Amino acid sequence: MNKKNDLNVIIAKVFSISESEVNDQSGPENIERWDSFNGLVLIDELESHFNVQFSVSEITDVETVADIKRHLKNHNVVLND
Amino acid sequence: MLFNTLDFLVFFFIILCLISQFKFRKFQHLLIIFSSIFFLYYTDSYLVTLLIFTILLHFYVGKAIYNSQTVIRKKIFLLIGVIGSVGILGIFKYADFAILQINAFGMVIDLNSEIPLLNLALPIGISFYTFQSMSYIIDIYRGNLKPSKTLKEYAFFVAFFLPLVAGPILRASAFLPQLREKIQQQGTTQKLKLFVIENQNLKFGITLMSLGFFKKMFFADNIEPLVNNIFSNPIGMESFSIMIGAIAFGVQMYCDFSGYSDIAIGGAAILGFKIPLNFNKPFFATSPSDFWTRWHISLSTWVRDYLYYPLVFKNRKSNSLVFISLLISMIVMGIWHGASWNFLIWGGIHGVFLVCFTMLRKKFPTASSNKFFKSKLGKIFSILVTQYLIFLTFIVFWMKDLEHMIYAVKKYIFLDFALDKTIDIVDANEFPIFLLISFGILHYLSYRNGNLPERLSKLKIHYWIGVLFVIFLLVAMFYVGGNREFIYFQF
Amino acid sequence: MNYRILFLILCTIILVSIIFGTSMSLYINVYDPNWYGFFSDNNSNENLKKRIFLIGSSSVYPINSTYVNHQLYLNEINYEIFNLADMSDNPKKRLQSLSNIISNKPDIVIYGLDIYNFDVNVEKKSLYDQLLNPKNFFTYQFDDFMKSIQDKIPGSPKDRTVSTLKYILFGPEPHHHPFINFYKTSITPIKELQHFVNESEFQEYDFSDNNKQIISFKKIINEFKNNEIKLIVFSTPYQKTTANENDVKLFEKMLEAYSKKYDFPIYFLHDKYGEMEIWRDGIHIAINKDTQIYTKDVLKMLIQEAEF
Repeated sequence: MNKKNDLNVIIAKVFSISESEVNDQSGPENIERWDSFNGLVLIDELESHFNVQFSVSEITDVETVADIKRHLKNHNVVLND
Repeated sequence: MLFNTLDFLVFFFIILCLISQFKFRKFQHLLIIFSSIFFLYYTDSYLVTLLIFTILLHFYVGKAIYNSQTVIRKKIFLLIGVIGSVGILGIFKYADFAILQINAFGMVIDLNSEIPLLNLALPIGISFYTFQSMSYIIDIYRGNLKPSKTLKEYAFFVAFFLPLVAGPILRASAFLPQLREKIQQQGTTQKLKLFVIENQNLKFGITLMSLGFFKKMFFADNIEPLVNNIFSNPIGMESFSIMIGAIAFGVQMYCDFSGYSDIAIGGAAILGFKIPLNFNKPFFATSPSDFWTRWHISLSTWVRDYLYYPLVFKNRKSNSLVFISLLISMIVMGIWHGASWNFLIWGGIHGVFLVCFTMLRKKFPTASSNKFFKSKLGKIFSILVTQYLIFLTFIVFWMKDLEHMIYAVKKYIFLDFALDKTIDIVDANEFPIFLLISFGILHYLSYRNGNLPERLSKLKIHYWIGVLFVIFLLVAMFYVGGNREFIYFQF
Repeated sequence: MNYRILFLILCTIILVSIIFGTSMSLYINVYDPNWYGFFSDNNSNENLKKRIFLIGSSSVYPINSTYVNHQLYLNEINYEIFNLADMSDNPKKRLQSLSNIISNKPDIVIYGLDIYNFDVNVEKKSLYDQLLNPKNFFTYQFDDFMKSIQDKIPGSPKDRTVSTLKYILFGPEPHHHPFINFYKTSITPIKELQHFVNESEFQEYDFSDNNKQIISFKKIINEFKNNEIKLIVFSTPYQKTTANENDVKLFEKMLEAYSKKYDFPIYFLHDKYGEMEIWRDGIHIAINKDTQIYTKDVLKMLIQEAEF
């Protein structure tokens, strides 16, 4: 299972963009639909897909997709690069 | 010190010259720290002690939180830091408002005594630097940030004169690494970097600062009389006049505040700091939610990260708790602006808009992918509806008098389609109306063509100087006179 | 730091300052009551009426010259009055455009003088005061330089730019109030004004021959005298002043002395309307149909002195 693709697919689906637009630098600053509502939707999707539970500290420490990967790694979710 | 004064221009020029001439790390850092304190002292005199107190309190509290072994101890120190900040803010900003309400209640129940007002002066920038300091200790508590090793570094972060008095509200996690010396492959050290003023940063910074002055002094100050003419006594005004007033005030607020932010961000860019945008074309927002990702971004993200997410995170399965959290967050955002009922109502209205929009999104989750809303026409429709709602809130933001506010809001919503008085107002305010139209055109062009300051700063030098010449000339020739304060200076 | 960039910016600032400085004084130095602009149908032939110019600062602009002209017309007095009040005007500033006023050949000039024209910035002596007011301390050091710049530019460059452009294209608007927009203002109740005025600090005044404003005032008087222009001077009204009683008496004494020396009539209006509800703020009478007393008193003064 290509977990990196899963992450990009989830992000693309939540923010209604194409997968090709998602990279490590993507974040609220450059994805138009990334607001607090969709941010929470994303958290729900990631938690249920990767079977993890994020803390408030983690969700407030996200500026880019790279940060999401870092937090997933802390939850032992390894993404193939 | 106001940015739009000769005092500031001379002050900033001297700082830049000293930084570029004396390439000694310690000198540069101490220069900026002490000149930042002087910057605040210049206008605020003895109230600068509050800034110094805030710096010392949060520096040592931050260290204590980080070094505490147990969660309870961390929580206690966090509480001390937060109470310290909120306490100062509460006393200086809200005490008299609270006393007025208690006295008003006392009159209702026939209590024949009044608590005297404290009449404390509002320290400049207090709403900004207290929030900035609180984010520092909360991030340390959350484990997202290591505390500054030196007081010098932390003092620089809090006191840095450019964003000090009216934002953007900086985040330590983004700013401190920029302050530290970079060593390749090792990231950054705890040693503060040497400031070197690079050509491209200088050009970009001057461009952004010039655009900031242009927005503030050419647009905002010259639109203000139109706003005052309509809003100072709106009773009797027609609906279209109220709408013009709302649009004019929205544009004035945007030009004033984003102009100020541009000056702060541009000045910091000259010194090599990248401070994120505080405004991102808010008049092209397609929803209330989108608006808050574009307007006063540093405050809205602060409220999101330190109030909304903690409130909503554990309870996000419950719709009603999500909605209540949204409302509370927006009311707090409103009150942050000032101790006045209209700011509270303003925040509440934004909260209601966000709640309604969130309900719609939950009910129709695929609506945003709908063909119509993805089309150009759909986008225009979304923008128009959103801006209609947003400009309504600007009426509430301006009007402190409840009777005026109710009248104006009613006229805005229930159109009377009368035009006579509106035509008179337009005739008597030709120049501000002309500026509103010009602003609309320029703003649209800037929206279509991407990062305008970046593009302008990359022009060949003679074209670049030509642009600056036009900006400086327009600012000088249309300078309204007197030192017009920035609206957000009062917060 | 790239000094080429800084040098170019400095040159740009200097160029803008030159254009700015020149254009700001353009209107007031070329003003001609007969000029009706490039795009106007009005007859630009020389008007046959004799002229009365009303000069002074914003304290003078509430005088309704349309009303005065109408009264002169009703009484078949062949004079036309123009209110040439200018924002932040003072004798030193007015002297710079005096030759233009004289070239327009007025028969009578009515000059409203503010006591504030003669204030001087005195450095606060006590260290405590200086520490509590750092801005004042620093701006005091450059006071002379700043005042010399302020004397060369109008209080509101924007108003001056817009009115200059309008003057060139369409003539002065309104015709009898060319320098300041004559818009209706509301009356502020005196009890609200008390709060406003009490907060200001008392200024210090200098009515001696050392004061540059006094020197300029004397030059103005002499110029009018040499050109046989009848001068009438009055002290402009204020609701509450930032001068103490002693300074007000010295102001009156100074005006009386010059009135005798240079033979022009002097009228004191500074303390005439203090209790009346006709104020916009502490030093400006509102422009309103209920505040005509100021205009009527100036009209009375004119009729008394002009020997029509």
